Amino acid sequence: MRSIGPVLILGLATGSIYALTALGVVIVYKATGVLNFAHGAMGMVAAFLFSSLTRQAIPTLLAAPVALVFSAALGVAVAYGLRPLRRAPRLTRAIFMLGLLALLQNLATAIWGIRPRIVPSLFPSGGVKIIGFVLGYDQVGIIVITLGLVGGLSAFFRYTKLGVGIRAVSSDQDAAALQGINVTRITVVAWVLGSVLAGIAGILISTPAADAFSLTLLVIQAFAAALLGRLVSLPATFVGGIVLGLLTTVPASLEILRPHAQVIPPVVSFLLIVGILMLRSETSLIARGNEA
Amino acid sequence: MSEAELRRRIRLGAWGAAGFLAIVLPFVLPAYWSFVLVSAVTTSIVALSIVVLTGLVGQISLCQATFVGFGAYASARLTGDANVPFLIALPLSGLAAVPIGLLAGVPALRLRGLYLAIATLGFGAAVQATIFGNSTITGGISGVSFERPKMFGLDFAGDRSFYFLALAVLVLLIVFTVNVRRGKTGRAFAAIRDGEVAAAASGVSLARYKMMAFALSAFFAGVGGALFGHATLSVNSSSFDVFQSITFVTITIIAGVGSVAGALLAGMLLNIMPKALSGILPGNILLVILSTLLLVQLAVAPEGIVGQMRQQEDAVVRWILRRRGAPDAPAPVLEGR
Repeated sequence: MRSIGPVLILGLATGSIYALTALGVVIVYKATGVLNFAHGAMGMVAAFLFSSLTRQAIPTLLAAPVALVFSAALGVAVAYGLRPLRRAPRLTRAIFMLGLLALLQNLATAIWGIRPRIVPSLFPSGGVKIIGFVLGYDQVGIIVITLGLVGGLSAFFRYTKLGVGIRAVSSDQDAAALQGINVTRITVVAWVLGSVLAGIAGILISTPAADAFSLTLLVIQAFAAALLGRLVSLPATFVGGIVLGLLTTVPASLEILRPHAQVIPPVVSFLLIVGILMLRSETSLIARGNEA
Repeated sequence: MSEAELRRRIRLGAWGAAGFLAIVLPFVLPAYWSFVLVSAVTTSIVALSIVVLTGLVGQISLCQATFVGFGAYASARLTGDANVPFLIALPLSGLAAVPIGLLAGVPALRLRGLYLAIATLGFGAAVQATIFGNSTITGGISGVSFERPKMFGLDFAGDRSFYFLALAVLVLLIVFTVNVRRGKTGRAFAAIRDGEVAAAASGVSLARYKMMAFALSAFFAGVGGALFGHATLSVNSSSFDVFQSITFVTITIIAGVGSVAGALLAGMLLNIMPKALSGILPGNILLVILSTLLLVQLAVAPEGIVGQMRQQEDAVVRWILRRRGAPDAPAPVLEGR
């Protein structure tokens, strides 16, 4: 086993990737009750669009916002696509998201093929040395941006009218509507937020290269992190992501498990998901609103 | 003629037409279509495994392709390495998927709906990474190969003959499903689907019947997987991944997870529709358009296409009865939607 310091740093970096991906899942679930199985796929499309734009000699700092505008538009489209199902059971709406996952996957294959794509970094190369381990600027960037988003979004939900509106709709749609809140508008805002967060995550974590399948499947790790945050709390989701990051990198550093490093994230995520769901009393998870 | 009799005749006519087409089509269509029909049948068997689990018992599985994979690899080993005759290997392949189905079903003892969906999705991904992705177990990217069976002096090497073999298996499984649905087990399944608390209060063992449902569903999927392997002649590490599971579940729900007809429709939607339209547009663009249409279909009719057709049938029945001025014609009902 290598010395524990670098392993922990690597776990922190990996964990912040999971946390960043999970943030959008939690926000959409909080606001709309939809479990976004397509979150990874939505981020993947944004990342590949970003990659294609930079290939046209568009600077990365311009390409990223353009790709995020597309993400916002995708969020609006999803919000309106789900409108006919707004009274449907949660599971039906989750199935819709699975259908969207398949659609985005087919779209990505049609446009970009199935081979991994090179996605440039928004950050300069090189990095900072922490206890004998070089942490790349892009990894530092992910950690800082994720922490910033957790703080910023928590403040948004607490202090802004729109944020409080989203919370009102999430706790009781009908009561919120009776208070004069435009539920449709709030739902659209939540989906735009969720989709842009998926895009930010997709662009940041895809460097130096990523393939459509693994980006889409990252949603499983995001679910594990989000469940550790009980699907509601953003700071707890961040901690959940870091915990998952450590749980996947520490075993991977053990000599006997190193050849199976690829296998560890899905297995650990699955065990964590089942563990959290089974050990938690069912009521605490489904207390919020109508469950299906 | 009473309304019930009329409905019975409509159903009988529809099934008769479907059976007629199933037998005649491989002789009428160009030869290369036989393989498309085989694929439709194997997909229908997998979709039927979802109808059993989701339609009859109300449980959800996002790891159905995992069961399919176990069936396929079991049949490859049994027929290839152990020289077991195909007809014996086929049910054994289904049985090989049962333990993994029971394992996947354990979370269902405590979880429902959305949470069961997440747990089974994680299960499928974990099995994909540990078992299907492990080249020493499954042959990895290069995969394993299959042969078409020969038995009773008949050679099923051709697509058309293999199609009729697969069709016979599908019909057997449909008969089995319908019998299960009618019996005591079927009533317990329906009770669990319609309300677990009420079912448990009526003395239905939730654990026993949920496990039975997962076992049955895995068996069907395993048989479908074995047939799929012998149809395509080779499978590889990505044949049974999470994306396959997602495709199976969404297509079955869009077609209609509540009925056997939905399973048949799912097989057709996934195989015959893309092939029939393949001349019009390049394959990958066509796939994007078709998946968009299916998503719209799901948003418009979450009860499935078969559910929509049932409403059409209601309208037709009312129209016929009204025209005949039958005394037992029900008063026209305003549609809610």
